[in-house]
Amino acid sequence: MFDVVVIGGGSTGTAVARDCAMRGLKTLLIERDDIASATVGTCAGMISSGLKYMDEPEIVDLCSQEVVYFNKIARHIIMKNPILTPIFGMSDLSSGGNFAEEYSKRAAKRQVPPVLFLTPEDSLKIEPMLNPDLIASLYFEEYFINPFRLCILQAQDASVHGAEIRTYCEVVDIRLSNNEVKSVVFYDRVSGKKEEVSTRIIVNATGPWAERIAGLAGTNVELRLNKGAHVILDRRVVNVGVIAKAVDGRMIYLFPHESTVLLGTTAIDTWEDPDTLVTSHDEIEYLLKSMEWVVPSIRKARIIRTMEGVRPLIAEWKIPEGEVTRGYKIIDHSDEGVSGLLSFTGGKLVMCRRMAEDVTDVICKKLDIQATCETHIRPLPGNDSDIDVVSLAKEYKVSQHVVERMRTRRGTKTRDVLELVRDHPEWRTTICVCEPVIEAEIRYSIRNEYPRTINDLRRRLRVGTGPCQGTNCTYKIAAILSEELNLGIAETLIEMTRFLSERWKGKRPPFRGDLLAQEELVQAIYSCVGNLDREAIHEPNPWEEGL
Amino acid sequence: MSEEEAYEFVMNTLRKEAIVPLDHEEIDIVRSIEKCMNCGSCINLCPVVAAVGMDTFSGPRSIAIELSRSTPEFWTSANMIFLCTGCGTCRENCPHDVDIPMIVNLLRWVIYKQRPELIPKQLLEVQNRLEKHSLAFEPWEDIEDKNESRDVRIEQLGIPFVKDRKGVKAEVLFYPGCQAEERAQEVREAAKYILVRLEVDYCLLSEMSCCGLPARLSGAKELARDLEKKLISKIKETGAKKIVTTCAGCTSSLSEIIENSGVNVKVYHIIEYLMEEVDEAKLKLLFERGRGTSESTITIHDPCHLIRHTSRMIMYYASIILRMIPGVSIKPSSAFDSCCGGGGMVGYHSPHVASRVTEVNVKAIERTGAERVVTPCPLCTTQLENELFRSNVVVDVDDFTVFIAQQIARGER
Amino acid sequence: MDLEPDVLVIGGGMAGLVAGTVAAQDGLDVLLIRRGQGSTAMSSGAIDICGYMRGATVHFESPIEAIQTITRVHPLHPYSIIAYDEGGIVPEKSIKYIKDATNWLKKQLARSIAAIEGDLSRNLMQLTQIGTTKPTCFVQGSMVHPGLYDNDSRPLFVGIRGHSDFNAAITANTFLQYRMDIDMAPRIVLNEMIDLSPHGRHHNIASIEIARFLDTEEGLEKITSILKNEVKRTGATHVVLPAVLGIERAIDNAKHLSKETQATVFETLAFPPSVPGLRLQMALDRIFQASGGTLILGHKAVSGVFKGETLVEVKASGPKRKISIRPKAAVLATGKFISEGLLGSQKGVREPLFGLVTVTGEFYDASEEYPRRHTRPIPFTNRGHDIFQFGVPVDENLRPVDYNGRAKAENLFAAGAIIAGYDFSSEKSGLGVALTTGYVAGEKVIRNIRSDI
Ligand SMILES: Cc1cc2nc3c(=O)[nH]c(=O)nc-3n(C[C@H](O)[C@H](O)[C@H](O)COP(=O)(O)OP(=O)(O)OC[C@H]3O[C@@H](n4cnc5c(N)ncnc54)[C@H](O)[C@@H]3O)c2cc1C
Ligand SMILES: Cc1cc2nc3c(=O)[nH]c(=O)nc-3n(C[C@H](O)[C@H](O)[C@H](O)COP(=O)(O)OP(=O)(O)OC[C@H]3O[C@@H](n4cnc5c(N)ncnc54)[C@H](O)[C@@H]3O)c2cc1C
Ligand code: SF4
Ligand code: SF4
Repeated sequence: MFDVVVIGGGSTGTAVARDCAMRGLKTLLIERDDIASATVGTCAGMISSGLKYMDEPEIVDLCSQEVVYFNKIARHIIMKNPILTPIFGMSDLSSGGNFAEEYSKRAAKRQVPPVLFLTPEDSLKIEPMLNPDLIASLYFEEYFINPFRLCILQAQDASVHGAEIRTYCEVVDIRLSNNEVKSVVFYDRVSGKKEEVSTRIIVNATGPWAERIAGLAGTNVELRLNKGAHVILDRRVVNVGVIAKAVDGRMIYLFPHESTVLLGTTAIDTWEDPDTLVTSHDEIEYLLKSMEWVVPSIRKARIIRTMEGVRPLIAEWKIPEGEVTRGYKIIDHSDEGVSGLLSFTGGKLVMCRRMAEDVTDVICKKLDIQATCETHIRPLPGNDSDIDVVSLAKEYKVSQHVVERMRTRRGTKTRDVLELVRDHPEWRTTICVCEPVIEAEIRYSIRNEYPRTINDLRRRLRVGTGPCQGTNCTYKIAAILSEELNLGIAETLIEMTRFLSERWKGKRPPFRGDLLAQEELVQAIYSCVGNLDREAIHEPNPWEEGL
Repeated sequence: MSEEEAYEFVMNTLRKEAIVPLDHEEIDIVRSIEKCMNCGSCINLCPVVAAVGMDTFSGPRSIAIELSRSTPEFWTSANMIFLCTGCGTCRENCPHDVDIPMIVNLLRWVIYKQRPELIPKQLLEVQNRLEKHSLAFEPWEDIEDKNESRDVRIEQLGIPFVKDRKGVKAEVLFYPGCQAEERAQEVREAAKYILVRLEVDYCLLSEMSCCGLPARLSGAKELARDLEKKLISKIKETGAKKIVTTCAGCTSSLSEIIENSGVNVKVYHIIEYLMEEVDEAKLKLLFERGRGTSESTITIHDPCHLIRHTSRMIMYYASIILRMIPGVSIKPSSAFDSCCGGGGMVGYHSPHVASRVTEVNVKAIERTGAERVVTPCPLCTTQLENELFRSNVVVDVDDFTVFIAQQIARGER
Repeated sequence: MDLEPDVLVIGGGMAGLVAGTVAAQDGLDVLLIRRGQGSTAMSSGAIDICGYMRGATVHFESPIEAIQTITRVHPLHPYSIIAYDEGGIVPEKSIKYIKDATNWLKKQLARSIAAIEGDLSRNLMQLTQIGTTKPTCFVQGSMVHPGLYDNDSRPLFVGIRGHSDFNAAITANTFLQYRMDIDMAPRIVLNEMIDLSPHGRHHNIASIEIARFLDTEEGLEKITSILKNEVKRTGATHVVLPAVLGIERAIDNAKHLSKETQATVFETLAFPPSVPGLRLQMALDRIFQASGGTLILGHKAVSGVFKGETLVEVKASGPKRKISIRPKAAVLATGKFISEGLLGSQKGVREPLFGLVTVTGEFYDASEEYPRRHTRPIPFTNRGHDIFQFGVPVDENLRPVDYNGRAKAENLFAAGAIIAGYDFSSEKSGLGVALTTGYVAGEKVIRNIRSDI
């Protein structure tokens, strides 16, 4: 018997599991796929002060506060993002005024400067790719968090505090007795078995799927689903982030992010099954066209791929997406006659800890437990201190770049991974060259971070996310995964095509330029030589079906 | 905050975040690397990977697809990036023209900004020298000693001395480069002698000044720019329309800076000059006069800076010229175009790596059974000479220009 | 200095080098320029003629059978185009060309570092680096494995510590699984990891490093003694290695090792960075040069000048110099997207050098076809992606044609992957088409110059 079953392993679900577990509740997290496999994995990872929602000061306050907390508990997975908003005319300026003021009010608290004004010359020195016609630019600073690592760390920390984490388990039924939740039925996709667990409370943290889960309990949630797409460009082709007005007056951005640049995002109301969505040609052109005014050379940059997700917004209608509140709601379904079920609508990555705090407060009250939230004080694993990359690299004879990349994922836990090479010197070998990732980290991750597929490893380690998109490493990782998880051979081969299919999902919409050569190479390796086009046909993915 | 303060503030943040703002041109360089598709063809051919293995030097593919993607992390490449000899083998064979040597210079420059303590100190010493003297080498203290050394060298080689033509205007400027100016003086003398014999209206710079290549290769971009500017103005002073040089590095480097500066001057390696600007019959005649005075079996080494940074055609010409010389027979080396290890400033801080690179050449040269190696670059000459000597291989090394001058001189006697 | 060769070949993969060598061997003065290595240097060590029909799951038993089918079903396939005669397709003509070309190549490569074995009467089922098998026609001498598929074979898969390209255990199991699926499993399949560190380390070892090491006496001795022990210990009949047996000496090494260990020692087909691909490229380069051809690396053809129906000049640029070439005839062998013989934007595919007409797999104008529309949502199916059939359409003399089907120039020929109408990945026909069209283009060029076709 669990106190709480959390459904959904995104940013919200893992944050809830962590908070519940830290407050001593017996907690189970159930995720149908992998941790961070859905919406959160497609977001930019901006933990912003809420610059887009200046009309909602309480949200700006909340976000600003959360950034302060994240910088305390997870600074190893956070990066600063300096941003320029170039101004080309008076109309740009008037809309900036209110924002600058609201932003600056809270800046000191987040340890960032107020909004600064820069001359065109200085702006161009900082970002020479800007359209030189600008008359000034606004400068401010935001932060990024690695959304995958955040979720993984939250989940891991939850297990440290006693929570159970079940991935690849899809909730298929919620059983009630006397209008009270009694148990959750889920299907384990690895073992192929159904299981039932009883619980006192269920937290529905399934983002865009919240309606479906509520439906299982015979109640409902209304969401405004809104699709957002990014174009990912190879390497840092801008020095700093750039924000610009899109063709329709919305704001879009170009952010250096890890070793790439993110161009996003679109916003389109959607009623599609989120699993089948891919970025459309129009979305890509919308983004390129819009950014072209501000960064004229953007179209020449190499596109690695696109990615898309669905925002589970609060259901406010007849207003543009941008005006829908960025807040969140906790719905206690006892109001509709189902007690013990709590659902989220709305929210953002940046708010996930706070959302968890709120819902856990509600749970504690329901269960009559006295425990206070500590998720903002207690650090996530790896946050303890700084590490010296140069000396670690020397000590373990691993390349500095490898260690630096590892550090941004693991902080002080980097050493745990490196320790593995003492017994297995060959695990120093770089497997994914683009990112780069060594065999030791892949093995470590498989053993400690419950991935099942190469795609899961991609979330944890960024393997296969570089410009070659797994051209060179897929078969190597498949072999390692196969060894560690004892996969059958047919499954190992199919794992290769499945991962490459997932990569293809993002390469196909923007298919042009260097992507053509890249894909010819993929086909040459895996079909022409590997013969996988005849020997390893995978079950179609949702977005491939019926076509 | 005032606008200046604001700018300072931003630059400060960027510094803390290890973001070195690249300028337009530099971003374009980073951009040109984007075309890498991780095929790895370059790994198979990189001479440094061959010499020390992919673990010590992760190679061109990794430079293209891994190390050059994120500016704030450029410093992490410090344990790899200084080992690239800049030979350009990777670029020449890359299906997508990915320009590794360019990005290597950029990475080195950024490291200089981010973590100067990670730069090999020998490179800093070179930079100091360049700054002080506008020369890659410490100049001779005593000009008499310098001249004496010169005279000994040319005497041994049988090259007649002709006087310098400085401070005059001429159609052709002969630019010897630092190595031939300060160390391999015989090359400089040989070139002058050839030009005189060919009745070329030439002059020298009033004072030698480095083209900036060593600065660029060691990451000192600003210094390189200063040197380039200085040299360009000196070149303008001479009024020359053509520059002839005897150094491979200078050829490619001058070609580039002259093109970027927009000055209307054409750059030639002396090989090109002989081929394109000199009447073939005239050259043949000079060679013919020396017929019967000497026989030699030679093998040729192609300098990277000529073949891979300027054009393979130059060595195609070189072999045509060498074949005109009576008594010369050429035995091709299987490593004729393999980097000698002398480039990229590698020898300054990691001589063992440079020597390992040269090993391939040494073995191949030995196998040819030739008496001498001829190569049109004083730097390659030195590197090969040292390594052949070290490996106890008794083969002479001659700079191409010296070799040609000797033949002409023999005819004169 | 202007260059005025008889023949200019643009592109130095299989297609260009074969065309150039054929012409040079006929006494013509041939200049070949290339901007870089292309697909040929990445290839696996096998020369495919044709393994599958697009869309088929069962492979062809023999390339001859394949050609007979293809010439019937795909009239615009390069194998069909060369078979045109008096308005109709004569399959025997295609077969004859392929026979001539492969016999010729076999002879040229004999005793080279990439000597090949195999014949047109059957497709080999060759073992790949990941343990799968693929149908192909010729393989390098260090890759042949007689008796591997016998019931009493005892293959030992050997990986090298720190060489991540080849996982012996998984590859061995994949092989076993495949043999079990067709009910022909050997009784036992073994695997082992050995230490062979060329630079004294056991990590980050590239195939090429091992290959270079095995080219030395020291390396060969080391691997010989290790494998001898392993074979003795395990009683293996075959030793399966990744393609690392040497650059210059791979074939001799394989023979030497087989003799010393009393087991058949061979390499699998390689993924890039591929050592056998490099061997093939180097061997072809050498043959071309030995035949009197001039090879200028690092130069990219950038434009052409046409006068009427003749190509009169090609401009090329090296790193810092430009050259002009005025050949009597030229062969365009610049490859596909990998080698940038073709370029694609979001809106269409073009041939960047001469601005030739490009077509889709269905032979529609490709200049305004969105590449994405010619792909499938699933990356790996037995039909491949149509985009990889895009290319330049040619007439029966292999001359690129314009929209009216007329040759763009009477002295410009095309060969290899730039030609439209086939998908090498799906068909397993890459080097075969490159070789055959290169060979035919070589002959056409000779005739063009000698007797003006
Ligand atoms: C393009 C885009 C950009 C964004 N950028 C930002 C940003 O920069 N900053 C920011 O703060 N926010 C951003 N957001 C918003 C933010 O990503 C989301 O609000 C947040 O990540 C939602 O997280 P979640 O955990 O609620 O949902 P999800 O991540 O979708 O998690 C829900 C989980 O529930 C699982 N699930 C569903 N059904 C079942 C079932 N039956 N059984 C078990 N599990 C199930 C799913 O598999 C999924 O893993 C962005 C959103 C988009 C679309
Ligand atoms: C990874 C991989 C593995 C493969 N494995 C096999 C296999 O096992 N068996 C098989 O049969 N086939 C295989 N193939 C397919 C086969 O390699 C190709 O189909 C074949 O090599 C094409 O030959 P090509 O000469 O037409 O083109 P390429 O080999 O690509 O050569 C094109 C040449 O043109 C040059 N070039 C391009 N533009 C210019 C220009 N403007 N100026 C000068 N030069 C230029 C390029 O630099 C290059 O040298 C494989 C392909 C790949 C990519
Ligand atoms: S740099 Fe060129 S040759 Fe090297 S891996 Fe990249 S694309 Fe291939
Ligand atoms: S320039 Fe030469 S040494 Fe440097 S990476 Fe390229 S091939 Fe290697």
